[in-house]
Amino acid sequence: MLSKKKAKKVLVSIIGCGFLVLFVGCGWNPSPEQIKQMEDTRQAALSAEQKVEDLKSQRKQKEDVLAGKQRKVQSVKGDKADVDQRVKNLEGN
Amino acid sequence: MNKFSIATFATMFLIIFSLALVAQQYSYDYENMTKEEYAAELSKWQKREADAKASISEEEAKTAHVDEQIAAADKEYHDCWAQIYSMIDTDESGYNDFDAQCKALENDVDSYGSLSAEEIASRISELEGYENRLAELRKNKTNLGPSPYVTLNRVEAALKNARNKAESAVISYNVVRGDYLWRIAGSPNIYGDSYAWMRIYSYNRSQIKNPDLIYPNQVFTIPKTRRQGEHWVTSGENLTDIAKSYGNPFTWQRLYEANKEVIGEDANTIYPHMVLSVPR
Repeated sequence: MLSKKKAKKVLVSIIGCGFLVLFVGCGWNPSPEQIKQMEDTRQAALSAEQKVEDLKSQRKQKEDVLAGKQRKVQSVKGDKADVDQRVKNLEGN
Repeated sequence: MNKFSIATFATMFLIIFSLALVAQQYSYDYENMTKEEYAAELSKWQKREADAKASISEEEAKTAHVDEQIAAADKEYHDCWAQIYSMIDTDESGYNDFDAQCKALENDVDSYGSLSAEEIASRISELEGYENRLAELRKNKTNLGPSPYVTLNRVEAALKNARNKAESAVISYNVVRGDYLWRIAGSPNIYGDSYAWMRIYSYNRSQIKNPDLIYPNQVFTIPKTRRQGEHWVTSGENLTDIAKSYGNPFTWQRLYEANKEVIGEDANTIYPHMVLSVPR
């Protein structure tokens, strides 16, 4: 048979543990699967957004390359017209 | 405090500590997250992921289109060059070789820009060699190509400048008492060759009626180099040889007619250092 003091202490400990369990166990908490789903989805979204930025940067570089090539095409077209005229002048003479 | 209380408190501490540790690995404080908040956040990330994936497809399509345009530009560029090569009767390799020859000539001629008139006059044979190289290159239709055409025009301008500079190297000689053409021509400052008196005579015919008679205070113009369209006769040459060197041996008659006053009645008799005009 427990003494009054000891009984009191046991009761306080049980109540304390009870509060603890209440604190931890009561209310809604996401399950480990739900936490994983949230984290994975977030990471996938961030990775996809990064990929979009990378692709935009690559496209911009390629557009710069294209602009340079189009300038060269215009230049060589001008050269071709000049050569054509020179050849005509030579054949005319 | 008895052992039982200590054990209870230790257990409580361990549980709380473990929960705290677990909470630190995640992006959210799941412990304090309500069900509604969880659903909203998850929905938000799912939408962002879907939007990003749609953007990825869009970007990939745009990039593929740019790649097609680059390929088309490359093809158009090469096709244009192929047409140029065809117009000037060559191919890429022939064109590049020819262009290299033009640039080599330009490189050789570049040095003339810094020479004085006398220096160029002393290197007149070399200058004539470059002029001949230019003429040969001009005969090739490839010279009408973009780069060779520009290069050879620059070469022509440089040679013309050099020629003008050389022809400007003229000595104005004041005749002094005791001078005679043989002596003047032999001077190291003039031709260094007494036999070249004929040149001085040729260039100053308006002043020298008789080559054996020159007078003090006469001023003779003595070019250091021959001008374009002139030929300085050298030892052993005849009119046929000279006409041949300018392209056609059968034009010796034209050469004679153009220089009858200098040569005289006998076309077979020409002398070294005579100055002849070369008709075009």
